[in-house]
Amino acid sequence: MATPIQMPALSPTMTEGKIVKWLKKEGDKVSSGEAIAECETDKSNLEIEAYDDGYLLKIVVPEGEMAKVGSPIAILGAKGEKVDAGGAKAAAPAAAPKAEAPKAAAPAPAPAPAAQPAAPAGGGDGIPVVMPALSPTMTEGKLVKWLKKEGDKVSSGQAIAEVETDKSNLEVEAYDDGVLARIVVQEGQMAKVGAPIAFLAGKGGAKAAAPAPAPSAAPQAAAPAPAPSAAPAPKAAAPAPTPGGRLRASPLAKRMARERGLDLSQVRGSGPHGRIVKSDIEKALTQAPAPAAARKAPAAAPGVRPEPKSVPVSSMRKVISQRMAEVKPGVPHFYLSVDVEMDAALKIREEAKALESKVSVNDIIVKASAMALRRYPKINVSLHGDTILHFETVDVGIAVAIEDGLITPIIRDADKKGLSAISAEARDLAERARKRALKPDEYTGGSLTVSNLGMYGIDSFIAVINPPQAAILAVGSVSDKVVVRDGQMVVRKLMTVTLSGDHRVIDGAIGAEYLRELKNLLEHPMRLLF
Amino acid sequence: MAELMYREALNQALAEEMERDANVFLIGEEVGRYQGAFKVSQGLLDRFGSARIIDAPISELGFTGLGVGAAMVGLRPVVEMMTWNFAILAMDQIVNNAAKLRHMSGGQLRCPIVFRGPGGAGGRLSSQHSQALESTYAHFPGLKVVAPATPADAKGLLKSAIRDENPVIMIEGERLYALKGEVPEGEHIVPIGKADVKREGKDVSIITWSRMYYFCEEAAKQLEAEGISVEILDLRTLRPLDEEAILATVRKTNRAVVVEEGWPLAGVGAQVVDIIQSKGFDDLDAPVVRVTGLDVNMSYAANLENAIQPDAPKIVAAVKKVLYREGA
Repeated sequence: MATPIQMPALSPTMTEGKIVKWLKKEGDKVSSGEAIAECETDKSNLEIEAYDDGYLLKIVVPEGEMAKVGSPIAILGAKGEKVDAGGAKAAAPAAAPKAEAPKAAAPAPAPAPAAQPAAPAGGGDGIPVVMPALSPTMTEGKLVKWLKKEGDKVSSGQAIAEVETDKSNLEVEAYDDGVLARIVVQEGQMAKVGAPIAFLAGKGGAKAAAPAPAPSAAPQAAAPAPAPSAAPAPKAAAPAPTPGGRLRASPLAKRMARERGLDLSQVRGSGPHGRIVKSDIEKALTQAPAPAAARKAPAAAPGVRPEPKSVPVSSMRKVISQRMAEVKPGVPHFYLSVDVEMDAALKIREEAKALESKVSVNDIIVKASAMALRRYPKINVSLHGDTILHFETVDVGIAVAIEDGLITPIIRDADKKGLSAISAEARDLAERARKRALKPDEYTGGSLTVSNLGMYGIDSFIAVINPPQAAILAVGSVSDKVVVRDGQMVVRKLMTVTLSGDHRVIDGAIGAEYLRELKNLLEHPMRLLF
Repeated sequence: MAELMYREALNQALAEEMERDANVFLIGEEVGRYQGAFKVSQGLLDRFGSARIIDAPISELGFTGLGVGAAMVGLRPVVEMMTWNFAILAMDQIVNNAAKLRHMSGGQLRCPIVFRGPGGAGGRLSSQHSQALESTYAHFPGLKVVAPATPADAKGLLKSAIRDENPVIMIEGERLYALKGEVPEGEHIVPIGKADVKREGKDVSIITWSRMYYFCEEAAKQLEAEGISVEILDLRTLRPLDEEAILATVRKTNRAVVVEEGWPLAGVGAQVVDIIQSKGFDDLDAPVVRVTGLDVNMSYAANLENAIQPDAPKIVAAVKKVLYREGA
């Protein structure tokens, strides 16, 4: 009897997937366990397997199209069995329990670049190279530099461009051999994930000469690809013209700006890909007090207060602002603070220095927080819908402030690593974070984040949880304070740490036990060795 | 003003011109006794006799050549093609002789002739009978090409065509013959080479001609209900193109959609886009969008025939695209 093959959930966060390629065609025989299609999830490209033997009677979801998890993508059955047009849909609910794929348990943090999607509607001229999703939160990227020029030969796996994501600068690779026939997205321009940034002509380059799709039509047509099934709204997200990048404006808008002495780089475009159009100019003219003011801000005359300078938000800042706006009202935080005596821990640091091993206070805190996590695994969790993920490893994020914002590279298995290993790794990660050279798997995942503002002289503060983690530790400065010990006032080096917890999955008492353990470890650092 | 059918307006123009000038005669298949395959020549045989309303055998190349020869020696023939699809048989006379006689003779010969007949899809006549061939004829120097949308323009343009000293191709809309409209009586001339703003608007210009005009009107009404003000420019003459009118409407609205029944490649609409981008570039606020017939042979099946041709929904979508309101 004909049964549907359903779109499996291939990652914990996957709600739908795109059929990149069918590996079988209608009429083909398939065996249980055999890969029948390639699917692009929100994180990577994976194969879909058949769970039964039979013949592929009908392909319901063609290549390039999306399907919700659990919905039928094909119909399997006996040879020659008839499937009516509505059969696919009708059969769907019956087999719903099968939707869960065994692979679902594996959180797949590696956001492999999205392989080539369906050819863009702009025209079938060549193979599109699309803006890959280089981080789980990336929705668009800026083309920093083309490493190849039009007409250059490229091989599969070869880096062809450098892209600035919300987190770092990464290289985009070609997934086919061929000739770089046409560059669609110029240096400095933004492109949505999944949108073509260039077209390759296939082997032999025969298609290279074919007229490329009209520049205006191509990116527009391809834009809907990345977003899930929600209606795409490319114009809403139109980026502002990037400094140094190509500024898009209609010929009319350019003429109007020229005639009225308006600096186009100060105007935000509402057209496709941020193209400035007539209405944007009209709006800018009504907002600007005088054309001259918008042109170039000269040194303010005495008595005249200068206008604030508007700078478009960076990709990273955009993501931070979105995520913080989501997490603060969305995740009920609770806060626990404790003072830790750091005298003994600082002594370790001095001793390490004597051994020419650079260990910072933060490294000791990372190690201690990791060991405490290992002992209190109820903190080492993450809430995903109706499921709580209990992590098997202890991976601690360290918040690193960089020019455009903040990033939290992860020290994996921090509970098992020695202080000097943690120290070396933390230094390397922080340095590469500042250069925006981190790889996605170096900042994805993680159990808990340590955010330390002690070096700025901050006594204590409250941090916002870094989702999907469930806790963050805010670390203040170490300073001499008077405390009472055995009825005597003594001076101790005190540090206040504040745990912010996701109250949906962590309770106050658990958080308190964790902090007690952390305090204990830091105050008796010898325990870090055991 | 009298309300006439498109075919009646053409008939009136023919009759008036034959009255006015004894050199004017009509030749074609079934134009006489049968009174025209589309009844354009109704009553003319009785009125002007068989010397001026001449039934020709099925021999497009032959009777077209006869017309060209007659024009060379001072008569003013009107050659009716049963459809422009059949006129392909007479291409040699039209293109190699009529279009080039003045040039080849160093100006000594004139060729005041009109070739007229229906073009475009006729309604389930399939691929050999449904071609919008205007771009083919508009391609050749030496020919003028007109394609009226309304009965009034049909009358006015046919009168101008008959009086023109050069060969004029008049492509009538096969599905327009029964369409009614007000037609001025008597001397009503529409000059060749002058486009007409059929609808005033301010947000976007639709540039079109012949039957497509009616789809554009339908689209404009829908768009108006959504608050989009559409201007429709009916080109009426496809060679020479009224460049000034095209540029004027784009200057006014800054956005343009060009609609034609024919195929996309090398269509007249492509030429209109070229004029806009090369001479009106600084007035453009968005790339010009074309709506054309699909690049296939016309289907016989009614649903496919409709799907192949432009229609109001396709035009509405194009207008929204050019206004960046897709998905809005």
